[in-house]
Amino acid sequence: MTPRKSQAQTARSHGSQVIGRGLLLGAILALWMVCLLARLYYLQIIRYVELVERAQKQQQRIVEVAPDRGTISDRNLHPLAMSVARESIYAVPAEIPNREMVADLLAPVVEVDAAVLRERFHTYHSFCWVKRKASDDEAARVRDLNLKGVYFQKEMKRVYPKGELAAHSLGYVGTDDNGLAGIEYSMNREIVGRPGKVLIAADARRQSFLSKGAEGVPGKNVVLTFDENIQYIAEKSLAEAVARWHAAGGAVIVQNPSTGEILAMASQPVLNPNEYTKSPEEARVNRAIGWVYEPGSTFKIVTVSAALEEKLTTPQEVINCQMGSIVLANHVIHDHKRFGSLTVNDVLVHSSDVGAIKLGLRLGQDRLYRYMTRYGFGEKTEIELPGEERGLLKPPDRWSGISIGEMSMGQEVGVTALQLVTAYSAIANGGVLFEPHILRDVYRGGGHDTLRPAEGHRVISERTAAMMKQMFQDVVERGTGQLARLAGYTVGGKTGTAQKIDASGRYSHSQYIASFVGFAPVQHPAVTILVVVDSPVGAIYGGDVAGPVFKTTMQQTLAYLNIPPDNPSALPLLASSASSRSTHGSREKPEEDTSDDLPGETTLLGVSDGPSPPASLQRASADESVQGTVVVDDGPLVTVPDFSGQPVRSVAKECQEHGFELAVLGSGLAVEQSPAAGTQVHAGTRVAVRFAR
Amino acid sequence: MATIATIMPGPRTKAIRRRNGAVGGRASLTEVRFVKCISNAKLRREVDREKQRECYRLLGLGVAVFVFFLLYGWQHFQCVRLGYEIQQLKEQWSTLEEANRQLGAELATLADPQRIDALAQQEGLAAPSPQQMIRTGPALDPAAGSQEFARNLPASAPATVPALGSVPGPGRDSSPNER
Repeated sequence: MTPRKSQAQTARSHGSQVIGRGLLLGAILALWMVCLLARLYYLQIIRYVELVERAQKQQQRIVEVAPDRGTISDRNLHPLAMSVARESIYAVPAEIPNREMVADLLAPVVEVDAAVLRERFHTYHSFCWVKRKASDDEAARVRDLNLKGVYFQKEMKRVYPKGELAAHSLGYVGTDDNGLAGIEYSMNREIVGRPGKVLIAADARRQSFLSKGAEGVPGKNVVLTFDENIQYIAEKSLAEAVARWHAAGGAVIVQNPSTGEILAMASQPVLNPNEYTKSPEEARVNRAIGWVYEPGSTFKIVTVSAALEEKLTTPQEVINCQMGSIVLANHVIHDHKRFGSLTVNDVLVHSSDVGAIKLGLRLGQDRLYRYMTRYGFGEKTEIELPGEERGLLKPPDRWSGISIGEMSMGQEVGVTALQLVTAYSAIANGGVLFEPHILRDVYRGGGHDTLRPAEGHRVISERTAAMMKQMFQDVVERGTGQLARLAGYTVGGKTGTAQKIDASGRYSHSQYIASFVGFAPVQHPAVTILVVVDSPVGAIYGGDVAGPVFKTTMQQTLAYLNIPPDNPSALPLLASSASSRSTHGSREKPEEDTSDDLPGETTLLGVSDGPSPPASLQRASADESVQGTVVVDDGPLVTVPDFSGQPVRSVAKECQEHGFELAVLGSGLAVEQSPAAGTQVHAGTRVAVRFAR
Repeated sequence: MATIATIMPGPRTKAIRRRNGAVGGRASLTEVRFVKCISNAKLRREVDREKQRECYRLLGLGVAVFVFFLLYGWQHFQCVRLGYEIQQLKEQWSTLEEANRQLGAELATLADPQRIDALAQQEGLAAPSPQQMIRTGPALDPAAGSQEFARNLPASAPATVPALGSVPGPGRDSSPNER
């Protein structure tokens, strides 16, 4: 072989080698590509759905945004119920490697039985609660455990910052934030809001970079007609009376007679809405609306006013009270005291049952019944609270022969405290019965709901109402309600003492319901207050038991509302009379015998000898005149400026200049204010301004 | 262009001679190599305008595509970065809102009249009786005071009192048979 040939062969062989290697490389690359494509096909086509699901599980999570329940506040926008966020702890049992161990670790921290947790972990696969709405401390401790498969979710928890204040009216909510009682229940649809769902995309480090979805709609805020300070005054007075007289319970209602607004509604026993499950069943009843009782003498308002309205009598007419007994349908009804002749005015002042029965007989069944219904008895007042009772009122065709007499003096009829206070408010405002209500405003942002207008209808003429007011004033001045007399104000009211029906279905001789209803100042009443105490021990009369509660509540309420005294002469008079009573150590009974407001059938000698009020009451009355003096400088009256269209900063500055306390609602420009522009108020008054964009 | 022909007597020529001689023993052939010096310096390439335009177009398109992807990528990363920022701000907002809510609840708890009353009693304070209170502000007549209170009412409250027998409330004046 020549070198030239060999060289060519070498070159050829080299070339074929290169080609071969290239082909090999190409084949490998092709194979690699085929493998890649095959893998791609496998992942993208065959396992596509499964892998997408897995990826979404890892990268995305849908978070349920708990609805923000609206705030419930009093008329001055002090919050009474609000929602705050709490961590709820949940587990995905499928992700937990050792369920027993995790259950044992969690149990002492969240204070749930380990066996319960173990059972949950075994029963559920993908989700179960460990503890809902855990405290901050519990959540922090569980987070520190850093357990796999245990997660956290924010939920809203309802809190009642004022504790037991107005608890029966506010109600409470269950674990799922649904209202179960009170305004929380009746306004649940408005307050609850709508939950949202947000999709959150997160990276491998669980840092979210995207969120989209519906945020949810917050619930509407509710403003009540209540005033938390008046509510506290009422609750405190009632609690003291219930404790003092070892009573089973009671209720106090404070109402604005000009409109029917309820300013306070207290009920005993108390309920803590933050821990309502720990409260006994009887404490959950709102006695102001959900408790029906026989009103006794306080019901004489219907009989006397109806007789006056129908011009069947006059306050000065003398009625023969037949020395305390009357026969009706072969039944003898005894008065509590042997009254001879009394004027109609004195029938009310001394609470003569025979006198009331005679007036009832003059009216007749139909007219008496008509006035009862006109005053609203036997029907719900339609207040915006659940659980209201309609009372017990039989139509005349179901009355027995004695019914007209019984009903004339407040027996054989069942009322709620709310019905009765509303009826007295009708007298106080000149004869118009307004529907009681507790809703002042329902709003969200700048939008307000249209509330049902407070309707009123005239029950009696202004003339009759004026006569009734004068008679009620006499009841307090010289009748059974003297313990309800106020310092500096004229008061009108009526006591009531009714027997309860015992287990045998007969009137009890040991259990009574003591009540007092009244208003002040008499000529221009600012508030009407009803006090009812169930089964007091040691005293039974409305004047003794409920009268002082009324006095305390009314006195403080009028001072709080800055109602000017209309009877300044009563100040020294009361002080001296209190001292006199204290000095002589006599029983603090306004009349010789206050048992006059007892129903006729219960006229018992033993009853009239009830114990005197505790010495502390007398001391309190006497001590009032010997302590120091408080000078209340209200300062000059200031005109509230018009804030509309101004930003928060400007309004705040102006309020500061005028010395007003500003309550800011919302953000943006002022759209609404209370008190209205131009109102004359004292410096230091709270001015609420609502802002909106 | 110049072409130069040369006879190269170098070792290579000798080798060729040797090879040729070895083949037939006859007279050897002289291998002549021409060295041709070519200079393209003076060549002037013809410009293909069409190709040039196409080239520019392609280049422009390439740049546009590049810029598009660059912007797209930048925008995408900006979106991601802003997404993180937005999420952070949202969380911050949520945290602040919650803190505000918690503070509101705390404020409401601290302003509880029962708590304030208890604190006042601890300090030896008591509610003054009416006899002890002397008001130095402008005196209002009783009617004005009551009406001032009544004026602070919702707009829904009726302004005037209806006449006797008018505007019966719903269901309040029903006859016995209706019950």
